[in-house]
Amino acid sequence: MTPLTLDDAAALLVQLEPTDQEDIAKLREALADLALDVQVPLAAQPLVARAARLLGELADHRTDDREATLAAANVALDDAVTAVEAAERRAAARRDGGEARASSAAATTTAPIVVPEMPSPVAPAASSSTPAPAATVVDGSVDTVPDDSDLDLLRDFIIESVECVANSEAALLTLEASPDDAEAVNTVFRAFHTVKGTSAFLGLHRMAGFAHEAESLLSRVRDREIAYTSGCAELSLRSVDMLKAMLADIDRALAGDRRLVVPVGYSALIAALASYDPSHDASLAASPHSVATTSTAAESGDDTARRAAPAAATAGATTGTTGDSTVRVRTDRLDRLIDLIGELVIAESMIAGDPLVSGSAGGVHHDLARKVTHAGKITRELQELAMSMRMVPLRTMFSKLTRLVRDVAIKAGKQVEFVTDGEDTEIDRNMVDILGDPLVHMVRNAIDHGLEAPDQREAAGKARQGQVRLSAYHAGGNVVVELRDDGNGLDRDRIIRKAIEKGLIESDKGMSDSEIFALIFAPGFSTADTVTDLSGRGVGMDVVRRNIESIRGRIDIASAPGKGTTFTIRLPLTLAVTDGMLVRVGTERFIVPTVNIHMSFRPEPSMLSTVVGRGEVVMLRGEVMPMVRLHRLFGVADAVEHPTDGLLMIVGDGEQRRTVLLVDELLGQQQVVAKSLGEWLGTVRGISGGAILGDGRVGLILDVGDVVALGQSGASVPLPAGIALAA
Amino acid sequence: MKFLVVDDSATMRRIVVNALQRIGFNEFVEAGDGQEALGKYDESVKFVITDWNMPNMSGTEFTKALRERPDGRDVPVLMVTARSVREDILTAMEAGVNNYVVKPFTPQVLKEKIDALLPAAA
Amino acid sequence: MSTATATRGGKFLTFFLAGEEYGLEILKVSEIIGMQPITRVPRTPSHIRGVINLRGKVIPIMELRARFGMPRDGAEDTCIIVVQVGAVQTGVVVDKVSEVVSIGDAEIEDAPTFGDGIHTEYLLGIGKTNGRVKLLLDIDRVLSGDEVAAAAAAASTA
Repeated sequence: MTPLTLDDAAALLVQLEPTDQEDIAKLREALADLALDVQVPLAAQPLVARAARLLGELADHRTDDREATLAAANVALDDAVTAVEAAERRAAARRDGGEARASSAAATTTAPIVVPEMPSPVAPAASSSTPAPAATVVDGSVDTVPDDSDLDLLRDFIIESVECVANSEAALLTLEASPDDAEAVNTVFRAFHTVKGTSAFLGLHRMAGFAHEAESLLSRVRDREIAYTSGCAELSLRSVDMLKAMLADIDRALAGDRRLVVPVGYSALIAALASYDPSHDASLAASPHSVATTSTAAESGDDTARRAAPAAATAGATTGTTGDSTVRVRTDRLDRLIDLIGELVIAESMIAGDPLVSGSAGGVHHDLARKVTHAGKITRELQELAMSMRMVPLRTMFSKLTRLVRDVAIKAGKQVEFVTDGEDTEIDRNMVDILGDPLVHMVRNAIDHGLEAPDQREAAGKARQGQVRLSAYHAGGNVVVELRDDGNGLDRDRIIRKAIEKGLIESDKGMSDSEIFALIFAPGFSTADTVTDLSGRGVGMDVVRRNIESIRGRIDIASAPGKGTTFTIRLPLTLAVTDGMLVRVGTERFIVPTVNIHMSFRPEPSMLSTVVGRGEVVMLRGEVMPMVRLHRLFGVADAVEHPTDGLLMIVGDGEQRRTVLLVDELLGQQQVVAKSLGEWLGTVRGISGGAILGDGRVGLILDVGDVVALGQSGASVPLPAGIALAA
Repeated sequence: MKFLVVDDSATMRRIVVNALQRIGFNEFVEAGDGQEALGKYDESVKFVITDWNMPNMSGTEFTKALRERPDGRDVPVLMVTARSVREDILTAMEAGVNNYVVKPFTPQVLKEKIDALLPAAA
Repeated sequence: MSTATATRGGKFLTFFLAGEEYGLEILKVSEIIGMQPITRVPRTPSHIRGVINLRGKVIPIMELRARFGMPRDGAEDTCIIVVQVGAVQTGVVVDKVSEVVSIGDAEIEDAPTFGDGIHTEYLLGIGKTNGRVKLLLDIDRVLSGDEVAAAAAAASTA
């Protein structure tokens, strides 16, 4: 082909007609090369590039007004020639009439270009950025971390990439709700892109290869070549998982033998990415988005997406430059700090309660009292601050669940809109993990068993898409996490049948709905007729309840036939402090966690009776509840014998029916720092731990669930014969 | 000679800076996106190396904005990219990018690109 | 007891309980505190008196008399010796703390295989200094978790 100069190109272009397809294409190639020619002055470069691009539009038929486009290309090229001449004049002036530099003079005249030739005018390394087909890689085979790699750089890379991947995961979930969100697509694209670019430098060719395929898929979405369909979503999420696995593997390898293992499924996934064809999404084509996710924090879906994506993008963009700076602290130190502050609060209240300060000793020490009050304020502020250090938002857990919903919905063939609300609600860090498993199980259940299949829903006059709503909020000093589905509701009759079958109850006589629903928390109880892949994981609702109780929480169920089911989990704000009611039983004091208390009252004689086989019971507004005399259970002397002289406290822990505890009196509400009684004592039945009370003595915290269980197992509470309490 | 290195990936910035150090350059300013880069750019910067795809403001947008500034008209801008699709490159060049280098590059390739742009800027 | 013979000598904190003088290896003693209100823990074996607040920590208190099967009559309960075995602190209620003495190996005899009133399995040996007899406690064994756990289990299934 002919070598071409800028002048030649300009001259050629003027002669072209919009219909000269072939020549336009040739000239465009030539100009593209010319644009990159180092001998074209910088000032002219953009103009040459513009001309080349405009010709490209003509060549590829991407313009409607061919005349105008061609004219614009001419203008650009003319401007380029002018710019070159101007640059030359400046250069000549600078050279001060001296020796002409060949390179500069050559710019307009002799830059030899062969037309056309590309495809990649530069970058000898370019070929390795799209590594050899990874399908040849055997899953599970071993590679090593490149020897000469800068370890620090690798570690930075891992940290950064993990963050990138997390951001892209968030963006992918945004896309579930609004598949047209360009910013979200770009965020994901960028994550893969960044990982690809960096890993290639670090010699992590397998990762680079993988990221390349993932990036390509997303770039097809970005360029609107394909839509973000469910198949595409599936692949993207799997890619995110794959990258996570590979990153974790590098991290592990760095610490150990430097051997990288190809994750299982690598080849299959890379092949699936490379050959992805949306038209093969057949099975899912009917419902391109089987899962929609919404956050009610933003009313319109659009807002949600926009809100989520840039946030994710920014987070990824500025490693270490934005956001609150943080310090990692060992949790045992933090726990000890919180413990000590708890003690400080108690010590402070002991000082405040001292007769010398409170004035009850007769003397007036206003000044001292004022100082003590001041110290008290600071102490309480300190305590609040310390508590807040352990609090983390539920956001991470919620987004994990969002992901889960998606997977489960697809497997179960359900259409689900997953709405989350209040993900900024904070809970004690130590509770997050324990709450996680129950929620996972409950969310699975809600989709698997709670929601009906789309056809079934339609037949029942409901939308085909079911809704699962997960909300969190603060209420009355508790954190409430609510999971609500609009499915079919719990099948009361089936629960009764099953419970009788399993020997849990003899009949449902006298049982309220909530008591019946609570049966699903009984060990081994499962309403699923078939154990599916989704729910058959060996954990039942009994484990759910146990986990929640282990963090002093409570779970309640409400359900209406055809309308859906709501699980309400109530948790203390923090595990460090227990909100308790201090009660007196004889000469002893106990702390009853407030979360377990429904109400307390002084009974009328008419409320009390003894039922054969059930012992003492209390009847309140039609509800018959067994009574546990704490003094008998714990062998306390000098306690109130007759319930009408004491107080009854209704407690319940979710599973067991509500029970009343007989105590002498309530001494008041108190926040206490719960402590273990120590391994030496081991587990003490009915007692969950101890706490230092305001007077410096240890008070025992009741394990209400166990107390109720003890009270109901006849052996533990030997009821004296003829206890019938006559009015 | 002072370089402005713009990339949203800190790792990538380090890689570029390492490469520049290996070929004998020692003065760097770094920025995490185009917006920040515009803030950090001044006449003391003699060469710009920017990533393409960045949040907030892409490399192309950044270059365009840079070229509109009197002090940014003539500084060489080298774009680092992972893909060499012609249309994209042309779009970038139209915005004022002078050349590009494809990831992963060796310090040698980077040196060639820089050397090629330097006399033109003189 | 024979296994302990070689290393029995050392410093001992001695105290009185029901008229007898006992010795506790000083290395196992973390502190001595005055008597304080003990919170009874229900449904635990009788030799567990309860728990106290030791500067913010809840520690269990053992009743040695009950452990040794002695009646509580005449107990003076003036102080608590806090012993540390491993990471676990436990308080032991005694009538009166006496002194710290060095007792050499030569001054320690094996406990008789049968004693009157005290289970000899809880003894390292019998020390004789200044003409007085001191029952040297094998505190690890006295506090032995197995037995406590077993007793607790027995109590809870009773």
